[in-house]
Amino acid sequence: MYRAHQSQPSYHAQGSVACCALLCAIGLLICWTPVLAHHGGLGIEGDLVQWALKVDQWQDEAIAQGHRIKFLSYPRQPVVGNGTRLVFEIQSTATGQYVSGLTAELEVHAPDGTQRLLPLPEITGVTAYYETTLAFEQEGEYALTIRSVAAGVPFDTTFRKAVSRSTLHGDWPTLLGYGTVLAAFLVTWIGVVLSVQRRFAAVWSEPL
Amino acid sequence: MKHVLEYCGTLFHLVGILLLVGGHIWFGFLTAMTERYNDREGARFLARHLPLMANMFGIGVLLLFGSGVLRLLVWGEPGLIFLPDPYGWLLLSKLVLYMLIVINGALIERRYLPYVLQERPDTTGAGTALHLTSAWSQVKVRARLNLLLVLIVVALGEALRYSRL
Repeated sequence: MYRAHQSQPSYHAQGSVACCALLCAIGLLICWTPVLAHHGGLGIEGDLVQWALKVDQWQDEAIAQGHRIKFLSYPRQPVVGNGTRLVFEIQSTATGQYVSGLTAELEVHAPDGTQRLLPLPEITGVTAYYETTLAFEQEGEYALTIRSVAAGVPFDTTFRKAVSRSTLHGDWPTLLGYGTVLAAFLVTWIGVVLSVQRRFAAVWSEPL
Repeated sequence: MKHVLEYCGTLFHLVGILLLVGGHIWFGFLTAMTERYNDREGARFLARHLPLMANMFGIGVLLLFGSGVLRLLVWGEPGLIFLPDPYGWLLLSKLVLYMLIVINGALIERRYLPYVLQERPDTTGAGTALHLTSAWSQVKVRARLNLLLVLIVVALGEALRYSRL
């Protein structure tokens, strides 16, 4: 009889210890962030998720005649009529050094076949960053060809960028994303309203 | 500024997880214990604290959603949930499950909680059949369903964090 009474608190204690250990382990897993190597480009420090998603990172890269050229646009999804920053970084594949002081230009091929040539100046104070701002005029896929000459050797490479009519009329992933976030917002809002109402409303009168 | 916002977003997300997930774990654990040991005191204790728990879960939900949207805004646009990458599909699954959790929580709060609170035993100890009523049973079942859903969401979140998708 005495034993039976004693075993119950012991069971409770063991259960509590197991729960605490489990919660501590989950907490440690959530808080642990590995240190990442950082190499060039825009900031990617800190978050592994951000790094994996390329949120702040280069969106595309290509090798051309001994040069690694990285590309990003800001915003990521260009919209017709809005200015979009087009940034390129040039690095030597042989030495790994960033290549600055080049005279680069950007050839823009619109979806309807028309072409434009834009100067691509190097950004002052940022080594090997070449940037221009462009307002896209058509919806569809543009071809962006960067051209330059380094140590007498010409090189060029082409990146493709889809341009949408608006942020809401982009491709289906963007639309689905907006729809889902909007639905989640509506559900949250309705939940908040119902929850607040309950605190002020009388108990329902109908039987369960 | 961006780093501060990201830090705040992560902090609020973690606090929301602690309130919602931790609260559901403890609620599920305690209701299971009261059932197992037919513990009327325990049931009385839970019934007394249900409104407080509902408030905490509500705050947790708001923190989770607010910080999630804040992060999407900091990264770019609220609709940019990284579809059609695998990360985007996982994030979409999280959002759908989140909506189910909120709907289930609202149902508990609106449909069943008033009855449980109405049937709450008074301080004299009368009405200890609380855990036998259908409303209390529904609260327990739906809270366990929510616990299952939030654990799936947490698992998806951790999978997102540690897999380079």
